[in-house]
Amino acid sequence: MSQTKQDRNKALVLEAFDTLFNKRDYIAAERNWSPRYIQHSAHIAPGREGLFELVKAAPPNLKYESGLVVADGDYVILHGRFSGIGLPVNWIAADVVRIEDGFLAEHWDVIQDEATREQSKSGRPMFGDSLPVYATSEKGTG
Amino acid sequence: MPEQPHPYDPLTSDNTALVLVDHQVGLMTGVRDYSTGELKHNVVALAKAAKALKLPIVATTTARDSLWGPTFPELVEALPGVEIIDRSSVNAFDDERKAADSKKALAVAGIKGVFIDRDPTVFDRLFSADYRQHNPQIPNGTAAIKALLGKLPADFKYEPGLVVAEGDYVTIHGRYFGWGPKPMIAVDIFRVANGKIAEHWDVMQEEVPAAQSANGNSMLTSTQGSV
Repeated sequence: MSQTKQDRNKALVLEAFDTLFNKRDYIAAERNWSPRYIQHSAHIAPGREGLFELVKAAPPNLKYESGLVVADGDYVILHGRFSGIGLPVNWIAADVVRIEDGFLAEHWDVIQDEATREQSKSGRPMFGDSLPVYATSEKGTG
Repeated sequence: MPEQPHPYDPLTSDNTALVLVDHQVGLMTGVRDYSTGELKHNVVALAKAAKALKLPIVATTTARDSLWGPTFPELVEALPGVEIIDRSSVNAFDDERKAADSKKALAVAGIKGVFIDRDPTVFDRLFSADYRQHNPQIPNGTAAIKALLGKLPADFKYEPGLVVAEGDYVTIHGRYFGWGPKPMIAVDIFRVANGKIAEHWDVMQEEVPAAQSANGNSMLTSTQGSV
């Protein structure tokens, strides 16, 4: 049933993101990320290794929070937030993942600085239920 | 009966879909009130009319591999590109894929209506009166986008790509030209409620051409399929 496949794909992607970005367990993450991983995110070096190296070099307080996750066919799209990325702002990301043979096989993303209340004309958060207050006085580049 | 959720709207290609339920060879023999030939002729004509009007078409079968056989071939021929959904439950509307398909069609009609057709009537037809905007650069409600529509540069362009939909949510990966000096890649997220587009989030980033990317790949690719 397609319901089962969608749920399975969503669970796989959520586990993969948590394992890599939050737990930073690279051995376990190899069970989720395909050895033939195709990267389309403009700032990340090719393949699974490129992604893992990026996470290894990230600050210790790196954190990924997921929000909406939708699955359809072989694709999963996640709306999420990366914080602790070594910048005065958070990143809001929409990650597009193609699943093949139970692995994350291909990835595209769109990344944008998370706007504060002062920066938001709509007054509604880009992600989650509240607008961020950044620890420093920096307002970000958004 | 529940209260009518919203007042009567005239039928248009944006709020209508054709649902063809179980036109299978094994079920044809059960039709007694007119001839099978006439039935096929009428259904094919209906399907062709819907195609010509660009209506979303959902076609189903029930237990096609085990019991009732395939959709009759004349209809299959009239529906190029339409995936015929084989279902296991008797009530076709129990299948959530059909609900998801109609929401997908609504969100795609909405974004195309705004950014490709630049049709100011799209807001009243397809968007909820209390549309909730989460894009930080656009004020709340539909009035702000309507005003924006008049200010778009002449070379403004939108190209939708992959659409991923589930439940009440439809997400669209695409490319905008003319928001800024460089093309922008976006994922737009819509929530659908009561048959209207009710809420919107997006994430936008300046496109990095493949040649300048850390991995040499394009940020938006045609292999994903498009609408």
